[in-house]
Amino acid sequence: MDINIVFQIAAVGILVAVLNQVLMRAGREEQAMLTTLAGLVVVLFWVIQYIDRLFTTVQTLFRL
Amino acid sequence: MTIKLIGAAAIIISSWVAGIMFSMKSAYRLEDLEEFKKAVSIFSDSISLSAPPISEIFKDISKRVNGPVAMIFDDAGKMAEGKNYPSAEEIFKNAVDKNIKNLYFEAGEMDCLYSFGKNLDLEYSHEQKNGASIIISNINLNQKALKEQAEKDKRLYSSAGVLCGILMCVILF
Repeated sequence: MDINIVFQIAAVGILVAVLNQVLMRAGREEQAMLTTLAGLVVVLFWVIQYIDRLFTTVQTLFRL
Repeated sequence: MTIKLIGAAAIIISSWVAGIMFSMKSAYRLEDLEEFKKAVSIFSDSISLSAPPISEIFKDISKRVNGPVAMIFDDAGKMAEGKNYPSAEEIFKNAVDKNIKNLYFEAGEMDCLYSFGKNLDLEYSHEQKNGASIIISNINLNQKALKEQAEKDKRLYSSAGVLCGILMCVILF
């Protein structure tokens, strides 16, 4: 697992939080929520393959 | 690495410019509203000084204002010369519908525009003048709210553009 993924996820989190605040203060709550959801979807998309690898490894280790 | 940095800079700058272009919509809307206010004032002065034909008034207004509003009055003047329409309101409405894609107006301003058209069919010039001054006061109220909205939009869209550009760079690289 590449450590860069951790920094990428952190950067996306910070940027989405800032964008969320900017949009909330401009009175665009719906767009702020959509931005947060979009950031969440992108990060989940990155993380899903590692979760899959984790489950496969656990299955192999415990011979399930 | 250099190419990556240049690409990232290009993405951030282009999304910032896209944000600014979105914010210009409010500025163009304000400009069009100002031109329409000028046109209504010129109309009000023209009917109080003399009673020229409506086609001449429209052509005079089209020469003295700019932008899509000038195009509306120019088309209305040409249609009025042709005398193919039963009323001045219909002439103006057709001219507005022809140029609607060039305008940045929203529902409130379009109502002002169409009510100016209805004003043209009033019988007496003092009624038309009163109608024009009501339209001008509506426009003044709209303008004040729009100026504040335009300032907010400019700040919002330029900062949102930069943030989205940085987010795209993080996702892509």
